[in-house]
Amino acid sequence: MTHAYLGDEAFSDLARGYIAAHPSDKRNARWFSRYLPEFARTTAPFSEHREVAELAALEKALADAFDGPDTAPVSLEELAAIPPEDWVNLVFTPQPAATRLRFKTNAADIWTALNGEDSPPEPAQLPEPQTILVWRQDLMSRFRPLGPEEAMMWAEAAKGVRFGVLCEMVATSPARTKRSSARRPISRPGSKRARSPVSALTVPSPIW
Amino acid sequence: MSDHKPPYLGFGLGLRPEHYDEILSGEPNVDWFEVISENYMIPGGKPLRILDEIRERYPIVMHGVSLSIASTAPLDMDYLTELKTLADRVDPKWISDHLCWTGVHGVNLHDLLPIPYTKEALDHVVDRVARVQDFLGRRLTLENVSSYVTFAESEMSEWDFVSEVATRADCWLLFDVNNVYVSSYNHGFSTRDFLHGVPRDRIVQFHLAGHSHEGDHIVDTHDHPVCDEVWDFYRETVAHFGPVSTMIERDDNIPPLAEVIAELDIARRIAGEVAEAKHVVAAE
Repeated sequence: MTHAYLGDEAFSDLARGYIAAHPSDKRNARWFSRYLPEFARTTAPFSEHREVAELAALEKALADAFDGPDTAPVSLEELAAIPPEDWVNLVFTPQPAATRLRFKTNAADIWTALNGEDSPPEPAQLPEPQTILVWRQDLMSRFRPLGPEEAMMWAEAAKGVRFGVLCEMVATSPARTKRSSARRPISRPGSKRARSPVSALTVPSPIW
Repeated sequence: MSDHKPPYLGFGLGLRPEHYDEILSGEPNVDWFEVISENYMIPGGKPLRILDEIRERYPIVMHGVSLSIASTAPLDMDYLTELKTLADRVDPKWISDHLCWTGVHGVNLHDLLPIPYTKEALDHVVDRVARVQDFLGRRLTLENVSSYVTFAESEMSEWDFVSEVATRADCWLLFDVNNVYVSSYNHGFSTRDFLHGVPRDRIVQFHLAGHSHEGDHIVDTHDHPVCDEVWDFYRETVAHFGPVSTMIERDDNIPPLAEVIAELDIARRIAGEVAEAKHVVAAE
């Protein structure tokens, strides 16, 4: 998509500059582009168009999710089997293939338009940075933007903060007062979305 | 290491993602698949899942593109460990790579580069093949590459070098029919000299592929059907070596599976005609 967005000539400039700055240091060419987002973010003229680096970062994250480590996501049945009194102590572990990106531009919308072979929107700065969640589900890479509350919940959950504490945090979150319609971080058992990017959850002893 | 020569597998194809669905939803007339090792030297996800499914149905051979066996850089033990991990998962009939180098001084060029055919290079390669074989616990299969330059320092022909490596390192050979043709055109040697210059008992696989003719030289692009001249040389090769596991490589401009299988059927027909002719001669 970075190529489609830039066109042949500008992408060739980006690629040649990148090859000169980062000669391939891995046998497997699969990993060759891993520094490209950072290169685009810090190298003129691409650094003046931040959406380029963000597009590259999204592509890299999607590729990394596609062939990242295999882990079984938590199933709805497993979630449903957890006694209600144990939820307060649940700790969620994101899938190793799940990543979060922080975007300052509408790069996600540009990607979506290009992927649908539509004309991309004009690049634009977002009023506030947006968190994009990238993960793998049913062998395919996916991404979606997270609302401010959800992004906060993900950040804290990934640090190992227990579900009970997360609920207290979201209840008192300034984001909640600003955006009461924000999506829930992890949907209730019964919702399909619940099984997506969470690979494991543990309940610290002495619960079990 | 087993002293047994790997089994004859028949007629195979290079496994490409474009054909995954057709392979898994049908029963294509392909006897075995060769996979590019590096494409599956990844943590997990769809490619490995598909490979697991395909190996349940077909024999698999692993073919690497970055072993860099002839480089003067130290052996990359991380790479070899990943290769061995994949081999443990896939249980390939054999593991091949190219008699070439692909990088040095910590830089990978992702191209198959030629080596000077000297005694010094020979000792170097033989030692490294032995070490890789010890690490993998199995014999390697090495392929002759297409080349576009030669070294003034070379002291022997490519076929003598290839043969010496195979004999001294005790490894197998992948005879790339197209590569011999390409290099013979680029460097002006006789394909027949090459064919008769390598030991029959070391050959476990043939490669066939298309190339791009640029007038005064040929580039090994794998983006065209196999050309008539290479089919003619394949006929001569099969007549000389007898039945050897044969496959077609297509890496760019990839057509539908049926089209590549139709090409594979040409190889089947030629090998059948050669066998029939030998039978007739023997009967007479």
